[in-house]
Amino acid sequence: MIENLLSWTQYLPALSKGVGVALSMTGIVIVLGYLLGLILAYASVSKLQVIKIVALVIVEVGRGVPLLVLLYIVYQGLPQLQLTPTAFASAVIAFTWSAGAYSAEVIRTSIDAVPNGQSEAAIAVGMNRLDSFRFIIAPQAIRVGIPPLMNIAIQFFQFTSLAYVITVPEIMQAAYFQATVTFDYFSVFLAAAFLYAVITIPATMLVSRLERHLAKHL
Amino acid sequence: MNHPVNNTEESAPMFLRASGITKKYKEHRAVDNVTLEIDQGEVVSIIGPSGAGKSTFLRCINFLEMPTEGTVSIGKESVAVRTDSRLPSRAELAAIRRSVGMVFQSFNLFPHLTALRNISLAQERVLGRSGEEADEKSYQLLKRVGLDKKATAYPGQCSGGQQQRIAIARALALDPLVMLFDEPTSALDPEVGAEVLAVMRELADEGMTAIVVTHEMSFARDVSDRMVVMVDGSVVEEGDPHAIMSAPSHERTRQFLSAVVGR
Repeated sequence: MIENLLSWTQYLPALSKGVGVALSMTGIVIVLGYLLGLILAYASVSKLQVIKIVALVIVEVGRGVPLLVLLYIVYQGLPQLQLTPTAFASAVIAFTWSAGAYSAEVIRTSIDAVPNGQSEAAIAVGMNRLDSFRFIIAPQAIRVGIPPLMNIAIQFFQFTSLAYVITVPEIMQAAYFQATVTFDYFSVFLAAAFLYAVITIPATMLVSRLERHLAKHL
Repeated sequence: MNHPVNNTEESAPMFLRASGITKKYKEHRAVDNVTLEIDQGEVVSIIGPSGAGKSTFLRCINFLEMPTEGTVSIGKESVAVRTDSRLPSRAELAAIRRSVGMVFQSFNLFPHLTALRNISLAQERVLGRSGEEADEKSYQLLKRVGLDKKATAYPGQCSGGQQQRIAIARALALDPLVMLFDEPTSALDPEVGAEVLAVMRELADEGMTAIVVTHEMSFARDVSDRMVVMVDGSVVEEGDPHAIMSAPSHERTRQFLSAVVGR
């Protein structure tokens, strides 16, 4: 019985090859996504209308269009424009777009979340705008924004499973391959679920702890 | 408090002069051509019904609110604003703000910094004092408001009254020529408010120049040298606090006083 209950674990070694791909993809997407998010957040409050509108369009498309559709647009659509990114690169581009859009919103709302009285107090003690941002607004916005930004990272680790549809050799692709050979769908996908959960659940717990720690002096 | 600039006898007739201050929101005149002069060491309280423009006027003095029109002179600094035609430069604004300390109704302490850092930061960034020098001064100021024991505490670990006293210390740290108090006790229980008022009273006795927007009538009567009554954006009465409170000459002052006194 015990043997049966744990039979799914036999698939873990085969699937774990995909974990490295999923994690490295997440890493790249998150670094690029945060950077894009910073740029978009800054651009979306630009005084130049053109920049502002372009930034808003990128953000709204990134948040409004399903990730799967973005994935297909990049992977299947770009080759028509004589651009042929690899499957991995296509996934990175599509995910970065989406992650950047969500990060931009988090960054913008985190800055907005700092009460107006804070910048007023900074101005009243004679600080210039740069100092006020650097010493008063940004530190508080960061404390507000870090947990949701980390949740975006966790989310996009899960989203890497979508890259399977464009043949990226991540966890789901490995699982699907195993399943078509063994027909042991339940166990194989259970093993896949386990691999995702074993990473996301501790990560989520870590974020909650961090959140409490950061909120201590807000 | 030492006033670095103004001990020398110059031809500066008035210490602070805010003249012809008007603040319009669309067609509504929140502050309508208000002029206020204050001498060194003087404490002026501004009273009046809510919505009278008292706070808006106060916030125009250090340009937290950009007046639609008017001129503010403090010490040697003078900044004029005229509708649409002239906005003050950053340097002018900085100069005015450096000479004015402000205490807010909601304290607005920096929650991520300790009490000491709250007071030291601007000294370092604005006045260029060294960290050590700033901390020493901050500690002295905390002592002065009776909170030296709270130096390493964060605002969230302090009561409302303590936070407001720290905020007063923060405002004093730049050696301002004038202190502006914007209803400093309105967010506090009366009992806690009393400890803040006590600190303000001491500072006034030591020669602080201040403009206080307040609903604390007994404080306004006992501590201020002069009282200004604002109604609907204008000054309707001005003079000796005792005289105004015992025999108000304006009908609106009478109405207001009968509503707030003896409550």
